[in-house]
Amino acid sequence: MFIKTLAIALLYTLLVPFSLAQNNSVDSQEIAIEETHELTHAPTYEKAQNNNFIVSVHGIVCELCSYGVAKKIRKLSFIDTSQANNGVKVDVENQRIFITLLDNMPLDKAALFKAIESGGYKPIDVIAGRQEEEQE
Amino acid sequence: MKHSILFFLTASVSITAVAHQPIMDMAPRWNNGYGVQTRVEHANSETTTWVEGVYTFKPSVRMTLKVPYVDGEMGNAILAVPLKRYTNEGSLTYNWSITPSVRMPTDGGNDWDAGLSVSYSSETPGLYQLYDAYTLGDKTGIDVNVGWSFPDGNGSSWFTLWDISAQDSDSGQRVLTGPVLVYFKRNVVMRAEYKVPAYDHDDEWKGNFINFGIGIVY
Repeated sequence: MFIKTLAIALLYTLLVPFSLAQNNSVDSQEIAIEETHELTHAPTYEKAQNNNFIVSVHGIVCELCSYGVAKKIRKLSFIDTSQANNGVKVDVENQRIFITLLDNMPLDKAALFKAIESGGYKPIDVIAGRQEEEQE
Repeated sequence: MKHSILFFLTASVSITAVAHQPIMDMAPRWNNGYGVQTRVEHANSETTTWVEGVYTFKPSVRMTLKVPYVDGEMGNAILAVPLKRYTNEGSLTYNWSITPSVRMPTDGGNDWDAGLSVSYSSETPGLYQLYDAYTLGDKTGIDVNVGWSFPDGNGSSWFTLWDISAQDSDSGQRVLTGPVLVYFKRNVVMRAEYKVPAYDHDDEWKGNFINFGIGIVY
């Protein structure tokens, strides 16, 4: 009986924040739609000198969970899958994704961000080329 | 009295700390992801093999099917629809989940059971925790998993967790607790757990619980 009471109390305790999270998610969805709208009009990036880019992504903390997002990015036409890590490496310690582009291909930020969202994460920004960061 | 205190302490810990759904809570969390896993569970002098599948329509909607086999014979399969709400903030990801389920009489019987689970899990590059309260048929329970992950930076990682499972059913109450070890490399996951009764007033329960599972997600 005690376990049942405890379980029901926990069910109730968890249900309240679940409904709050749903309400918050409406805002998140609206923001996401706005961001997506902006992205479709965003210019594509010129390719970096060494073809490498770093993308900041919130919540990407587990390599198993990020398997899908890497898979989706590799399907993008401008990713050079012949490079190390098939062109995509996830850094779960710092919530970043390293990508390598094909020669002469610009970075399509809108497509990249859409792939990351489809993989279950929140893209923040393209922050730097790997070479630039190493020089810093 | 001694047992009551032990039970209360353990159950209290389980509320502040739990874990369930080994692979399926973590992955696949991407659109159109899918996975299969098999688990061998030994409890009550009986070995059950579970064959389980998951399909993720989108991060917020999954479907899972779990089919048990005991001595080569199919038991009652459980079909569930985990509905999740993810939030990603910096180095933290967490989700609230509500999971309606139904246990189908695939063993040839006529009994259907409805279930409901509500859970919360969160993860940082180091800490993982899951709290789950559920009811299915005559069973009501709480699971807690808390522990640390050790990613190697090259697509593989170890998780060392502590599991506390408390359950109330028509046959009584029990609290099991013990360590869990999870290892994954790329998209392959293994999970081993060993739990002992910390409180056992369940007429149908005997001894320890051992589980080993392996799964793959795409």
